[in-house]
Amino acid sequence: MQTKAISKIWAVIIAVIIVVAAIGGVVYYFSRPPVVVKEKIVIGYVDAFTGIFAPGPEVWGSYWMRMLVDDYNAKGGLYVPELGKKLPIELREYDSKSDTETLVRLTEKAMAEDKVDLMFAPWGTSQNFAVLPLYEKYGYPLVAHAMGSGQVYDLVVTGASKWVFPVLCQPPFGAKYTADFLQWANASRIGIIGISDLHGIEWTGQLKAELARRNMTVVLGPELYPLTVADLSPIIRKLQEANVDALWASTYPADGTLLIRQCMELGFTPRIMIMGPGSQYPAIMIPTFGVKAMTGIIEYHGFEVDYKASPKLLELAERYKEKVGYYPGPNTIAAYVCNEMLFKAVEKYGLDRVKIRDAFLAGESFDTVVGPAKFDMQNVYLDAAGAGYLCQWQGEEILKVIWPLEKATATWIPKTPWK
Amino acid sequence: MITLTLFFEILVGGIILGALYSLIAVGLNLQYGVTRMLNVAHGDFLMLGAYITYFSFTLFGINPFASMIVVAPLMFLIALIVYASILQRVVKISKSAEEVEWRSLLLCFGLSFVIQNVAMILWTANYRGYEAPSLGLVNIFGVTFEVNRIVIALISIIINVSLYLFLRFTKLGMAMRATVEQPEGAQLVGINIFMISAFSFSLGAILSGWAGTLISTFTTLNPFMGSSYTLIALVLVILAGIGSFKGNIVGGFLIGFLAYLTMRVIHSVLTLVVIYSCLIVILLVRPQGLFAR
Repeated sequence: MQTKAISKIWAVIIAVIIVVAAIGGVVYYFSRPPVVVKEKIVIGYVDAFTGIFAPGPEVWGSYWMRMLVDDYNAKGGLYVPELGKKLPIELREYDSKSDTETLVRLTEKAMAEDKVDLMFAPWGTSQNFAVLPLYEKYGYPLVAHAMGSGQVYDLVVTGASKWVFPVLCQPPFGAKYTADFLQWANASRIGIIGISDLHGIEWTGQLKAELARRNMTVVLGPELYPLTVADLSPIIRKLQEANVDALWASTYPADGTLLIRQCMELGFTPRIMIMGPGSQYPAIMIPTFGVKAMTGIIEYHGFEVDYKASPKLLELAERYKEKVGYYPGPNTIAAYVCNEMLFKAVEKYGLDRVKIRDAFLAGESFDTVVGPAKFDMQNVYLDAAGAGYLCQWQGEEILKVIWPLEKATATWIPKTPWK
Repeated sequence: MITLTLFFEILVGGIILGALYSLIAVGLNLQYGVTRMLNVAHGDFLMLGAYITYFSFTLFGINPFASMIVVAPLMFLIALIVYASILQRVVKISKSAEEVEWRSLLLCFGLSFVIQNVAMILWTANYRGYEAPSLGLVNIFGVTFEVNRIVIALISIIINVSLYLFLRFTKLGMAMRATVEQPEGAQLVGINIFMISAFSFSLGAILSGWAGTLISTFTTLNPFMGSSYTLIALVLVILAGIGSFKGNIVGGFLIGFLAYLTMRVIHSVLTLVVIYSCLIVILLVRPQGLFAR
């Protein structure tokens, strides 16, 4: 009788175990994480494709970044070591409409909701500053190809930010190599002018300070003018009166065009004329002034190449020209090189963004179209062929590197007469 | 120390720059002053005029100054379409000039985005420029000036004076003024206020387009270039007194003179500080502007 009762209890226990196991199995079956087969690498690219900032990405990096993705996809995609195979790249573009709030919102959407694998940085210093906290929060390397400011220099040097990797030479470093060139070219009476925004204020200020440290004579400036300037003749007349032989002008395309046109009209031809960023774009300057008038103007932007320096570069420039109609500006290749470096890091470290960041922070070198490239976190720029170079218009659409001397593809020439 | 030569340079340079400013504002002053339409897409019409000139020059070799003949009918047509499809209803349903103002402000704000982005789709966001022919230099009181700029200044002065005379002495001009001051009375005497509004708006767009034509001779173009010109125009319209073409010229000269003087003698970085300080002082003394009716 007792044996029978025990058997009944056991029967109930076994039944309960079976039911619980069955329920558990069903629950597990339906709640288990789906086996994800990664089929592509998604790159988020939030930038101003419409609105007032749209000309920025248009002349600067967007063509290059699309070309880079196309180049990789043409070769079967990007190799991901943890998967042991190449995956195609999807470039997912989001339009910030030139609105900073929208830029921030879409960047967060790309990172938090769409969970993109990597991000391409937007164009413009202020836009990069706006999204930097999100890159920090979600852990994406901000390979900032169009960001120049003494503030980002401080952020990196002090270690306050571990996720931002500025590509262009920042004003403190840029001022040094520009001053080196001015000293070498025996600039005796220097004039400094520029647009009154962050770029103009920082670059002109840093240059003046650097020249003062070397006891070089700045006879005028920094003369900063408003963004809405419609007449630069008052400043040009002051430069003429001061007998300036070397002019530095921080300009964008609109005011740069105005400056060149009025210098031309008023017959002001300084021996050394350094401008940027904005007057190095053949698509703008050649139809407006022609190559002859531009000859002698030197361009600065922290990263410049001579596309004829290597067959690889020339091939890229030719393809760019097929799309746009003109050769690219010598500085715009920075957008290609730095993101190529990002891809090379993926090929080595996979999609682990912390490892990629650490490799960049450690100054690890990656091979790119301009040769080895690594981030110099002390001087805060992308250390590669092109960094710290000055280019000059010398009678053709592709500009020549004239500084530093050991990298020069042509000898510097004084500014030739305008007409 | 201001020498006599420097004094003449600042005077003439200020007039030339001022004339350019008044040219930028004249179209808006007409639209806002006469029809009470606060067209914040003014700079975008200016941009369209600049592009028409650009294409006339690059595709057909038409001299930029001569392209004003092409710009006028095209801008008139564009503005008429915009007016008939969007703004006419505003005039119809508004019961007062103030209502026209705020309704048109909102509509034109949207219109500005539409024009900019259509232009971008058509012509890309890239900067464009062309090799505008130079007319050389001229010596005035021992100082050389660019003839191109003097031509621009003369065109601006002619436009402003012609508009003043047109509004003051022609029947159509008087009808335009009457439409704003006494819309009901104007209708009672047989004025078709919708036609008058359409004409005023379109005429304003022609003037904006011409400003774009002349500006394109010395700067680069892009679909978003208009916004800064709208701002300049609004400042000048407020300074001049709404609808005052006398004020438009004097205000333009004043701003031009101050800008030139500051850049030449004081320091260029203070240009906007001086201009806006002067604007504040004038508006404190004359809140209605320099020459308000």
